[in-house]
Amino acid sequence: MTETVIEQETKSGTAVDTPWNVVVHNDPVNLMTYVSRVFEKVFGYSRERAEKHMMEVHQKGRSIVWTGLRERAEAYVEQLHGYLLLATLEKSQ
Amino acid sequence: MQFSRPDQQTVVLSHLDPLLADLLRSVPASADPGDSESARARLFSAPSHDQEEADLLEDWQEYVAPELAKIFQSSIEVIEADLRKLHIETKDGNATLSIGFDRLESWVHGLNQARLALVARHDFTEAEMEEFLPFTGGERSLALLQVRFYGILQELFLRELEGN
Repeated sequence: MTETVIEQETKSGTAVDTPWNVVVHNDPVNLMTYVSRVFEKVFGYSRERAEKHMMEVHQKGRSIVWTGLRERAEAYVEQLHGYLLLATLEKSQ
Repeated sequence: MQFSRPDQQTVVLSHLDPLLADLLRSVPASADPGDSESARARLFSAPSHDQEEADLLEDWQEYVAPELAKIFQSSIEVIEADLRKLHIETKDGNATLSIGFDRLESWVHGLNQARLALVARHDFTEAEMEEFLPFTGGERSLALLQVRFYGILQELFLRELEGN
């Protein structure tokens, strides 16, 4: 019984600790300057870093803009949706 | 149309001919997805593409989407209030609009919302948005003109916000 409980807790702990990516997808309507500005505002990124992610979205179709704990990743996705960016949450590989 | 910054607190759009003034007045209505499923789907996009995230998608619809709707609405209310002060010059019929600098963020957001909703509603392709197509009349052509005009305004306002 005790061993089973410990195993369940370990599994649960692993799931919670899995890093999550916040991914922004390309949308040809959103202006490039607007997308960079949103990254600066939401994540506090420098202009240079924000533009690097914006260009990655533009050229590759998506960019992982942040990785970390699930709860915070969800909050970031919500903020990005508030700015009407196409953002999703996905488990980090 | 002329764009100016007479002081630190204000930006002014002037010499707006009746068509451009009408396009400005149409921002709130254009930003509203109304009964367009595609516009609504674009403004309230899914937070995950993973089929295993059904709980997240359900919670998102129930708790997050209403909050997002409030954020979107607050920007539109700022724009509506400013548009009520749109001034029509008696001598030439052109319009002038003064916007407080502290309201530009709301304008940038509202214009973006309007552009996204219009593109989704009319299913414009990337090529259509990039290609120069003259205004030929009709609802679709007018919507494309709106998307372009709102994009120009967004760029102008963003430049001011960035201090360039």
